[in-house]
Amino acid sequence: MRKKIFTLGRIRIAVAAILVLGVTYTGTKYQLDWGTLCSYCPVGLLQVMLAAKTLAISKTLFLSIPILIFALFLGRLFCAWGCPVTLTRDTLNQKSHSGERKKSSGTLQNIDDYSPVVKKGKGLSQYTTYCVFVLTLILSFSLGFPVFCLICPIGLFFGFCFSLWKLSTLYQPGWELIIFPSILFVELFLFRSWCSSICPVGLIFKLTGALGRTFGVALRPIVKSDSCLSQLGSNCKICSKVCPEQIDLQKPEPKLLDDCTLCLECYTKCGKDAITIKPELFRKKHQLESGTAKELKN
Amino acid sequence: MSHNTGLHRRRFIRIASLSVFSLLTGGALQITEKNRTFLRPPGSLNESTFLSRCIKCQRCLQVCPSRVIVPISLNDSIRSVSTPTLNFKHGYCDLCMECMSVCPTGAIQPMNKEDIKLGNAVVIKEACIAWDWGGCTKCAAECPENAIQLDNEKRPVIDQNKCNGCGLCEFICPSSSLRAYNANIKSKGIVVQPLNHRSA
Repeated sequence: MRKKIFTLGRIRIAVAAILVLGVTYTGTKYQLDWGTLCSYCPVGLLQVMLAAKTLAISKTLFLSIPILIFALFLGRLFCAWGCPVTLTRDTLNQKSHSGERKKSSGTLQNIDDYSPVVKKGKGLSQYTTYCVFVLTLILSFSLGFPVFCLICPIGLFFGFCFSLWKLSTLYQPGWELIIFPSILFVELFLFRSWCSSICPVGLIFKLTGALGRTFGVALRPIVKSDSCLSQLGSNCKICSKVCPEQIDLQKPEPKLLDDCTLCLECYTKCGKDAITIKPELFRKKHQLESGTAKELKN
Repeated sequence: MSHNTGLHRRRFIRIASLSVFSLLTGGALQITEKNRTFLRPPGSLNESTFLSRCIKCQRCLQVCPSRVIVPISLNDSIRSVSTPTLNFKHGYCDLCMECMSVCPTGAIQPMNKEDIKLGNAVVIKEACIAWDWGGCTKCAAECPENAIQLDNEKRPVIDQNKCNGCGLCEFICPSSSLRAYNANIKSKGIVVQPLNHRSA
């Protein structure tokens, strides 16, 4: 894993492109019923249940529930590996999915290009995601249609794709060919912190991942105390610096760790292979009490 | 302490104004588009229930073998944008029932073929060759439901009780190509209009 031909960022782009564009293209061309990613959206399921005021949405349950079960183990993996927002942002080499600017190829020599670990005001952004989510549910119930889908960047992305399809088959252009990308531009590049402050899909994955954490099954990056330089006394902070969610892996508070999108930046950038991605159950095995690692070294 | 209350007050005002703004916008959409109807895939529930369930997953669009399902453009509706409608440019609905079986939210429900009425075929007399000039009898000859009869002057007349809105007549109508020289003719000679359609 140390010497890779393809950078991690490019691998993520490829995976997301296959998931987002490949699935949709194949489904449309070969008349399969794969749909877009919106078919599997848990937030869409909740909005429709409230808007139609029914629990009898049987097929969507079969599509969304497996996604949520995956999220118990994988948390916000979708955010880094499957979301069109991340795909768009990374392809345009702009900010990563959480709003943190990434520079160059991120080799160890250029580590200083990354901004230092900032104690982010987590309180505010968590607060707004919950507010947006609750507002979405209330509005869907009262207005009688799924409201967030009108502004959801994932929905707008696919809406734009199918508008192009409509243009190519019916020769009928629509205003959405201009308006959807404009709204996407505002949401992705002017809002910057869409993912951490607003997106309810990420919130659902985070909460499900938190549930998985309480059961101990959620996959998380775990620092191996016997290999980690920081635990052995030096001031290496590379894993925390490269984390797009600004998680400090040396002091992993469970609630902050729920933000982890399993982007694998820390895993690949650690010079000492000191990070492992394992279920929460294994955390105790790898983390000695603070100070014990130093004693062992001495 | 006062700084904290100021922060809390600001947050509350922001959230409250966002909520009110969204509610007003959403409510405005519902009111202004209240009577808007579109052709919907066969088996669709009534318009308001359809819109409450459709998550624009495009599964119905993908499985349609005739490729008559297309997403609604922003030009036609904001509330219904990207939801499926029918377009008979490249085919007609042969009631294969595929869309019914793939809709994940039940916006399209399974239905008997005999009960399906997608819309009403309506003759556009300015565009129809038989009504405006004479000689064309294609729609009457091809209608699978025998819903189109020719009157004394060999002009098509539709029996709305028999028409199920399949769109074959609109698909095969040669008016838009044979009469393309006439810029006043904006549509085919016969079109399928949604039920409860109101002329603009």
